Amino acid sequence: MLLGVSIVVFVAMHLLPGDVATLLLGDRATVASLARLRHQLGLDQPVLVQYWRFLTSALDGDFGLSLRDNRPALGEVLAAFPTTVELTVSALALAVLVGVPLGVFAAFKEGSWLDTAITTPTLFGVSMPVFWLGLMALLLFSEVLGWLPTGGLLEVGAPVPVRTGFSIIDALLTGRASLFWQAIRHLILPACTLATIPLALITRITRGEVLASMHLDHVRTARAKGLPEGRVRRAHILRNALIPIVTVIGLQLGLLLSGAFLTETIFSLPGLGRLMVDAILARDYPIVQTGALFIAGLFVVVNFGVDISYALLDPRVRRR
Amino acid sequence: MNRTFSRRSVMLGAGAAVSGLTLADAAPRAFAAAPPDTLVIGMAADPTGLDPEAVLNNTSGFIMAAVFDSLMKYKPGTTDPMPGLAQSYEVAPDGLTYTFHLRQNVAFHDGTPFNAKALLDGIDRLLKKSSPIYIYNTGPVEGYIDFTYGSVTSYTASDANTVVFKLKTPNAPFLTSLAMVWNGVVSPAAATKYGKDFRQHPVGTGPYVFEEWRPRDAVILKANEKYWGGRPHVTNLVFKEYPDPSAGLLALKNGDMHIWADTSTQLLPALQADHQLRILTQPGLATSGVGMPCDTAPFNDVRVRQAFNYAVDKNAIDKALYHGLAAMMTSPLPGSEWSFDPSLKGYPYDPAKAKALLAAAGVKPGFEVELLAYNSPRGYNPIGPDLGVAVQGYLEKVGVKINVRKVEFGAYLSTIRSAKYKGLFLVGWTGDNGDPDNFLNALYGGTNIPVTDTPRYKNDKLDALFVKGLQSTSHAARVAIYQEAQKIILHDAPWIFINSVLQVRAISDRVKGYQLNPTQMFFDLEKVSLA
Repeated sequence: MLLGVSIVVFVAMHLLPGDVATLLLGDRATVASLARLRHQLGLDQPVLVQYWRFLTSALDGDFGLSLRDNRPALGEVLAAFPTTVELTVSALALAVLVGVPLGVFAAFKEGSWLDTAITTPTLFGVSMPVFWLGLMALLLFSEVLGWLPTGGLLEVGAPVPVRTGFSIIDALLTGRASLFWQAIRHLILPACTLATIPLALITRITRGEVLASMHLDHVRTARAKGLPEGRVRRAHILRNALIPIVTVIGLQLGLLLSGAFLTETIFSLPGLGRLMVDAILARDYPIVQTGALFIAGLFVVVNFGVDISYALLDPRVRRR
Repeated sequence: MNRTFSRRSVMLGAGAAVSGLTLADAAPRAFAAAPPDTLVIGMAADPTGLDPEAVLNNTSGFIMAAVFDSLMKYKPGTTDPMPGLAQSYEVAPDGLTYTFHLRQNVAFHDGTPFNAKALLDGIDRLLKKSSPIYIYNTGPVEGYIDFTYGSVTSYTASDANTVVFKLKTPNAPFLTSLAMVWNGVVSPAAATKYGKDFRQHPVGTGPYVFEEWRPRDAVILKANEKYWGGRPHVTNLVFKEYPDPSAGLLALKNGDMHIWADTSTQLLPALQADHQLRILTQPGLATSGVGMPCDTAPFNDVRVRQAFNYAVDKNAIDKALYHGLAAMMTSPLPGSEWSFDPSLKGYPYDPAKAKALLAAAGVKPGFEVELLAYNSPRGYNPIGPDLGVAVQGYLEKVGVKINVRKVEFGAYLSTIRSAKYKGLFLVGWTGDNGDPDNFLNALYGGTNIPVTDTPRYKNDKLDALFVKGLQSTSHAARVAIYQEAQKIILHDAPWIFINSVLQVRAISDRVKGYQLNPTQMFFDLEKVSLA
């Protein structure tokens, strides 16, 4: 699968008009300087040779140097990843911890005004443009109220000696509570913004699935057996509804981990989404290829995790 | 295993987010502004490297101007060269020998003394394949090496603090080129120590010392306590990236940012409404217009090209689309250039004359042609492709149908430089060193077809003038040469000459002592302070 991804990305990138040498030298390029730079970057080689070179060195763990800034491509991708993980985990946690209970609650109150009060905003949530929401949140919480910072991971020039890339962990390692709060505060707006769509989606799916399981035969049987209502809901309705919910959460996790370009841009966060979009615009092939392979690998891991969770949730899957 | 980990982190993240919210209520504005004694300059993109001779983009240049000094520098606010790391210089009457007397008691940030040997090692790095720190061995090089040193035949030290350059032909712009940020003097010891990584560890003699670069986030610098031009007023200097203009605006208003290097002119009304901000403007070192393929019918007829110039109301475009922050091009040179001819009046808006010229040239009403536009703002054209749309509207009024095609910048460049493109195209230029040759010869010199002379315009008389202009050592003679060139180009009209944008930067009113430079670079930052 990874080979397929690498071929598709390579072909797509080379089908795009314009090359990195032209972009780097901009309006100032001369014929000679373009030719020399192309040679230095290996762009004067046939496309197949370029691909073969990338593939063979990638198998040795060498993903090449970024054409833009001459740094190892894998290093750049790995350096951008912690920010994305931090953002994804906090956004998805918010979405799951709020979305699942809301969905369950709405399902049990089906048809009541409470149900409407929950499901109507989720409709807006799934269709909300992230860049608009992010800017409005910035305007309100940062500009008008002045409660939260405008962007970045930490305050400019914060004294953080160890850099794991995870701003919260970095701040914790300094042992200073103020820095830790600072890191959290920088994460609140982007995480909430990024959480909107998954939150709305998870709420709606949960509600739908719980409603569907409520009317299944085994639930009626459980009630007929005289099981307490709480147990019926937990063991027979919720557990049954969880598999599709976990699938949606897994898909969202994969999507968010591949980078949230808009959220990262609005909040000036150095994550994977911006790295990839910048690299595509700059025709920085090694970064795009390495990033795409990395993201494809992540999807495999996340899907594997989701499959394992099926087994934990559903005894029938385990037996197979 | 994977599952346990993520579940735990999920809980941690969510718990933290909630407690953060309540804390935020308790302490309003606790983190709103940048820390004291830190000057934050906002930029729109990430630098690609910090070796002045290896990279070319403005963002990298902004930072390098604070870390490096050049042999020459620009008089504040201008592109006139004056001594920098050279204390004084002499040019021989034949224009072939340049002698520089170096400033003494200057050291690089790593302690290496700056002297003739260090300077020559640095030039060896650029020109000598046998140099152990030869720049082409460190990665791709985009820089101005040929541009600056192309005419140099030898460079020697006549004593420990004097360097002599010999040129094969007079190269009048040599001094201005040496002042560019792209010719910043690097520490040869640091170049040796870091090798390929030097572009991530810049060491110069400038007012600020490089500390840390966090990719796509910020570059952090500290004051050079021993700077020869005086200790900088502000201790910490941070170049911080704000990729979204609206977020940049909020940061500036909140005090998180003090100088906005890539000020978005689209947001100018909002910037002007804030009384704690100041908007600085200066005539820019840039021109922008529409290129016409001079070797393709009907544009091989000068009357057609002139007609297109008369057909477009540049002043109205400047007012409506550029918020008045651009000046109509009355000459192929921008007004900030020293040989600019103020007697030229350009092409006033005259649609009747345009129609008459088109009719005389046999162009029938309904003539249709494509206009290729880059799809993003450029330094010389902050409204990007909208300029193409405006031109389309005006040309329609004289019976020419324009189809605007917007493409991404890389695709745009390859198309217009293919030497085959037959349509019109947006075109523009930002000056490199402030010399008129760098506009007129670069954009209209026959030797630069099709790379920078994209309209493929060639005039032998003009090309002869450019050779004379490069070789002349007399300032007055050069002014006369380039003024004659301006007349020829204006008449031949290879572009629809639209405008020269002003350089615009929004700064916080706390910033004192900051001055724009036409090259857009952050020179003389040691003089900047925060009130």
